[in-house]
Amino acid sequence: MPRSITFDTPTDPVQFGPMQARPRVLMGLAITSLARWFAAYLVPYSRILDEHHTGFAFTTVQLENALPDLRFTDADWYTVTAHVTASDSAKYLHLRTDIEARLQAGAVGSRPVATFHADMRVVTVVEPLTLSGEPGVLPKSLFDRFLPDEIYRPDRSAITRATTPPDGNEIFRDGDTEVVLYRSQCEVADQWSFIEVLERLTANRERLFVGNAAPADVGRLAVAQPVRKTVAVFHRAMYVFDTCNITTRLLASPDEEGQLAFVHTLHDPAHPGPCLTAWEIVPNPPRPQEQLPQKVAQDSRAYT
Amino acid sequence: MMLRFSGLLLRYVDYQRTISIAAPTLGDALRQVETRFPTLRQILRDGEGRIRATHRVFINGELAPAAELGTPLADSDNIEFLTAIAGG
Repeated sequence: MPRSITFDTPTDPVQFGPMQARPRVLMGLAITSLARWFAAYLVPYSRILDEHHTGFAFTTVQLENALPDLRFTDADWYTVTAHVTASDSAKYLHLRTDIEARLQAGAVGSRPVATFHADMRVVTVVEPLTLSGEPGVLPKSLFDRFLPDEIYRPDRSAITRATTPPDGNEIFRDGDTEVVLYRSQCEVADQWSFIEVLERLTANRERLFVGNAAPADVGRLAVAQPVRKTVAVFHRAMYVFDTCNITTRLLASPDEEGQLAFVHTLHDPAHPGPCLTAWEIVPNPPRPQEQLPQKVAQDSRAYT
Repeated sequence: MMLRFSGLLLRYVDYQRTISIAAPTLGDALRQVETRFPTLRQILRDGEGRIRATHRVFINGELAPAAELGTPLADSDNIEFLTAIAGG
């Protein structure tokens, strides 16, 4: 079994929206779990960068919500468990983080909230001021600290499946939205932070609800249900003050019955090809008129 | 010609996105900018004086092969410097 780390952290209301735990917070816990694993079994993350001249470029991330409708009052504490594995070529790392919720008292055990997976390409830092780098391998002194159970052989077909955007009938396609990456959305190398850039894509989905960005039905689908799964595939990094365009499409996904997919593409208008493709899976909600009688009945009981 | 900097390189050219230079070659243009911003040389070039593989140079939107420093430039050219990967 790969070695894992576990830590508890109390929840606070800023970590939640009214419908669900905020994905950016869950992904933030995941990156913290990565740093804790490094500190426990390798060396602190900052030493990996500064002394071993090694960094990690996120290539894919996936956040699957087991409890997409978790509310703040459902979770007094998060318990976060994570392990890291290295590919046999020492070129890639994989992080798996499991997040569970538990109540302080009156509840038995904990409930799975979300599972996060990230694949990272090892980067050798060639210039320390900017941290610019090139694809590399883990230094032997770090790779040797992984146990045999923590070494994996990449499964190419699984990678292809995981990085292929959903296909389906296109319900709506948004025009390009121009955005600028600001420093608050970047990390130590002035390169985008995967958490912040995904937050920006989420905002583009919600933008469909605002004003005349999309027909009213599409706008409602964009905000009415909690997100069940978020997947992102990073093709090319962007940097602070870069201007990029986001295009969002809404698909009825045939692979997952009753689901919808908001597929976002972020690209640099000055250069061909996408920089990032991401998709959010949400349930296809019942139409309001189908929901109404039950809601009215519940309200009636509440007032009698 | 116009030299354009973006992303993490901006810190090392005092946040000037564009710098106008008159120079016959890419190498000469770089030397002029490096005289004004000495740290930029350490950032952009390796110990042999070549442009590091971590940076890409585009001339009028076209990727310059291996960033040849002897590439002749015209006054109307646009030269863009981009960083490929950073390890954060």
